[in-house]
Amino acid sequence: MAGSIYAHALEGRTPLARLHPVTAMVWTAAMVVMSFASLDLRLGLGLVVLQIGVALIGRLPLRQIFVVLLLVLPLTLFITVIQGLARPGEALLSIGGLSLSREGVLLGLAITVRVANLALATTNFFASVHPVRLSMTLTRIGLPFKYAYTTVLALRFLPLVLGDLRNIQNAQKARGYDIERKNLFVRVVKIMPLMAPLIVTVLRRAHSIALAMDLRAFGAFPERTWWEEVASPGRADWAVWSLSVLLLTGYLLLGFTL
Amino acid sequence: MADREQLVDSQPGVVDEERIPLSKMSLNVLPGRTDTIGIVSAVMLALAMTGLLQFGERLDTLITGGLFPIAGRVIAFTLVGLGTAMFGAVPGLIVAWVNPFIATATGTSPIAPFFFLTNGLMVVAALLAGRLVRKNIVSFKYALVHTALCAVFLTLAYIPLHVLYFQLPVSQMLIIYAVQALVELIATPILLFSLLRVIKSAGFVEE
Repeated sequence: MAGSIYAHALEGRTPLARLHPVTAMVWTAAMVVMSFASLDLRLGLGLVVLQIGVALIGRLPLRQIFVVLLLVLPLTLFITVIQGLARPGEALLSIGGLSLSREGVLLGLAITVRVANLALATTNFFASVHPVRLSMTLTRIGLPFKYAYTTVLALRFLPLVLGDLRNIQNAQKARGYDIERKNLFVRVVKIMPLMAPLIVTVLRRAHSIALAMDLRAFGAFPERTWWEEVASPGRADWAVWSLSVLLLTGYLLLGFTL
Repeated sequence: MADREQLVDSQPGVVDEERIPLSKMSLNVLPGRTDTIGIVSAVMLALAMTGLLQFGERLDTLITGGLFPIAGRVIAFTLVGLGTAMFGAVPGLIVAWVNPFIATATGTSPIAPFFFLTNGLMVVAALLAGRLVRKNIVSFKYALVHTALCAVFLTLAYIPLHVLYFQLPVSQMLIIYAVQALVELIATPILLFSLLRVIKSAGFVEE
């Protein structure tokens, strides 16, 4: 499962985890702006190569990153077909009365590359930033601790809630209700036998967790102490910030001229 | 677990403690319940939404590559509506935003970053629906108004996204928007109202 993307940073398997989380944010923001800035296929592909290069150098989990890219495929197909059918131009492929235009297909591919770039930027970010360090940084930036902590809490309890859902699903299967066998198109309407017990279970669990957190004086003191410290940005961080600005400027200039 | 149940059964006072309503329907929706239980419950609801969405997102990915989510939206409308109704605006936003965060962190949806905007709008819709319905949030009227507002807000938010980011010819997408809204308006109020009643009868809500 692609869930190990954040586990990679959690276990410190990448040298990028040593960078300041703000550095990762700046780099990701630059990549996101670049992915939005141009629809030129060459520039977009260049950005894909750059981001995969970063993943290689940073020893990020390439397999999981490619799984995320695979998820873009159905979207690619859908966008390319729509653009091919809707845009006028030289016919690339004709089936029956329908024809896919070359211009539309190229535009569809460019948009796909754009989505892939966005997915790569966010995936690389989560693969390289430790959730606790992210939480600490958000607190330093000014977000109240109890809200910043929700990121850690969510990642911590995700397997537990998914386990609850699996148990409920199995219990309902034992009673003869199997959502996997329901018609795909009415499945969402028939989700209630899973939804209701799951919501009741998680609310009960939330009560116990909140009680345990309150007993440990969660949020009682305005000044929060941390087991781990995030060091101030160093030379490597400054270098990445400068590189981000340079790349962004260069990309925008190229995007306007091409 | 068995020991705990035995302990609870053997101490009458503890049984009562276990049965008190865990959370009250938030009367002060802005900012809502920002105590520990409000925040933790919101995170847990968001995680439940993430788990349940796997049944909806598969269908959406199969049909439209996830570009025109229908089943996923029904589940999201339901749970964001529930979270906001129970705990107010801030926990509602946590329910809405933890899911795209998880989806991005676990790599389950390539367009998850967009959901920060769209899910946030669902909270606005729930707050407006609560304001319009006023008296009783555990009602079909609340569920229907919330869904209708969500459908309008999200369609309006998706049009610029489809035009500017995906360069789609929106005039030709109107039929898909209409189908999306129709399915949402039929399925979501039924699910949300049923869920609100379950939650109320389970003792989680005091209005």
